[in-house]
Amino acid sequence: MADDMIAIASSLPRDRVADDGMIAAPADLVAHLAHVVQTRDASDCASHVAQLGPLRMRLTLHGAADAPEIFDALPSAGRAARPKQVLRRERRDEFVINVIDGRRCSVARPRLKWRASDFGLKRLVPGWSDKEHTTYFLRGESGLAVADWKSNRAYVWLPSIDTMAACDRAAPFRWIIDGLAQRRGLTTVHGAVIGEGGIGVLIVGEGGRGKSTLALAAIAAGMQYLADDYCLIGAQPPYPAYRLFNTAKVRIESEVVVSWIAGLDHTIEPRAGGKRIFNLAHHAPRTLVDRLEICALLLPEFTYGALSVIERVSSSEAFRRAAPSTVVQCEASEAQAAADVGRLTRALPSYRIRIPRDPGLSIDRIRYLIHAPRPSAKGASR
Amino acid sequence: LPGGVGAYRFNYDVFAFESFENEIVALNLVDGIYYAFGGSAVIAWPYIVGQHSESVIACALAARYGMAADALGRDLSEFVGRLIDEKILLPASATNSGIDLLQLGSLPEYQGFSFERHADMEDLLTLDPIHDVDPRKGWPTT
Repeated sequence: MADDMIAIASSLPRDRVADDGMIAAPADLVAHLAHVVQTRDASDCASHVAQLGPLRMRLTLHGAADAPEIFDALPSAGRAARPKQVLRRERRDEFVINVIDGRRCSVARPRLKWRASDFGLKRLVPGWSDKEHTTYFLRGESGLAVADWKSNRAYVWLPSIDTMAACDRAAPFRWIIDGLAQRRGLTTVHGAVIGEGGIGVLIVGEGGRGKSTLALAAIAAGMQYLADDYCLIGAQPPYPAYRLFNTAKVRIESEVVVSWIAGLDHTIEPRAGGKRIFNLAHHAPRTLVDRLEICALLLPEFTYGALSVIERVSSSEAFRRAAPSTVVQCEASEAQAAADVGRLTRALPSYRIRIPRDPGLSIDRIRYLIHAPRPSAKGASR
Repeated sequence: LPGGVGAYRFNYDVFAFESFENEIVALNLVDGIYYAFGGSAVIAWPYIVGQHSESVIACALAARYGMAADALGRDLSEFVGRLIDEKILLPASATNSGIDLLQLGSLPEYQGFSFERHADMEDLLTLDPIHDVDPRKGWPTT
C-alpha cells in the first residue's frame, strides 16, 4: 500500500493527488502511468509496430523484453522504404500503447477513487470515461488500462503479462482497438472474412455457427484469409474489411473438422468449450491479406445434408445475426456499432449458407458468389 | 379513446433500432437481447417513437385500414405494453402534430402487431456486475 502512495505522489502534482494518495480522474491516471513509463529502463522493453488496415499502432511491453510473443497475433507494419512525408504522417496518426508488467517493473497497482456505480458489465468503465479518455478494468487479469484519445496514447497496467489469457493473446487489446477504430470511422465487427482477387464475403453469426470452419476451409482451397472472428469494417462504399489478428480459433469440440489444421502447433484456451488457437502468420502466411472489399454477407449454419445450399435472406435477418454478437462484444459505442452493421446489412446482399460435413463444398459456392454479378441488398423477402 | 392517450419515446440509452422493409429490429446494447416487430408494427413504429399518442396512431391506422379503431387500439395497446415492459419505450409527453393519412399511403391488409424476443447472446455475457469497491485498496471486489 505504501508503495502505491509513493509512486503516485512522485508522479503527479500535489494538487492532483487526493489526501489519501488515490488517483481521482482518468487524466491523472494517464499522467501517473506516463510518468512510470518515462522513468523505465528502455533496454528492458519489447516493441512491435502493428498495421491494422489504416490503423497503425506502436506497442511497447515494459519490463518483459523476453516476452515479445504477446504481439504475435498482431499483423506487423511493413518495413518498406517510404517518403519522409508519409513517415511523418504515419508517426502523427500512430497510436501508442504502453503495457506495464507490474511485477517485472516493480510498479504497484494504482489505487483509484472509483465506485461500484462507475462500472458496467464489460471492460470499459463508463464512470471513468469521457470524450477524451476511456478507462478499462481488466477483470480477468486484475489489471487496468486508460486510453487518452487526444494524445493518441494508451497505458495498460497488468499485475504480470503472464495473467493474459490465451483468448486475449489471440486478439490482444481488441478493447482499445474498438475505441480507436470508431474514432477513425471504422467498426470492429464480429465476423470472418475470406475472399479472392481482393473481393470478399463477411461471415457473421454467434460462436459455433461455422465462421472459423469456413475461413479455414477457404485457406485449404487457396482463397484469401482476412479473419475468422473479428475484423475492421468501413461501413461506407466500397465496404473495406481489414485484418486485425493473425490468429484462427477452432472449437475443440467442433463436429466439422478442417483436415489441414490437424497436427499444427497451437495453444489451447483452457476452459469448458474452449478453442484451439492457431497463428496463421506461421502456418499459412501467404493466404493472409490485409484488405478485402466486402460484396456480400453470409449467415452460416451446419447441416447434416450432403450438399452445401446457399439462399438469399433479408437484410433484417442478416442484421439479427450480425448485430447482437458484435454489439455484445463491442468495447466502444455499441449504438455506433449497431448503426454501422445496419448500414452494411442494408447495402449488401445476404445469404444463408448450409455447411455440410465437407466444408470444402461450401467454398465452391462462396467462390461462385464472389465472382457472380452483384445483386443489391433489396429484393429478398423473409 | 382507442389505444389510450399515452405517448412514449424510444429508450436510446439502452437500445438501438434499425428499420427494414419487413420488420423493425431493436437491440439491447447492454446484453444483446434483440426484438423483431413485424406486421402493422412496421407502419406504426415511426409514429410510436415519434411520440404520437396511442389513440392518434390507432385512429389513423384504423381509418387507413378501414377497420374499427377499438379493435386496432387494443392490439396497439398490447404491443406498446410489451415494449414498456421491456423498457424499450419510456413515458413521454405526446407531440401535438397529427398523422397525415396520405403519408400512410395505401396499406396492405391489417396483419396485427407481431413481437419476438431473442436472447441468443446470454452466454456471451456471463459476468457479474461489480458490486463493491474496496476503498482502502482502491480496487473493485470481484
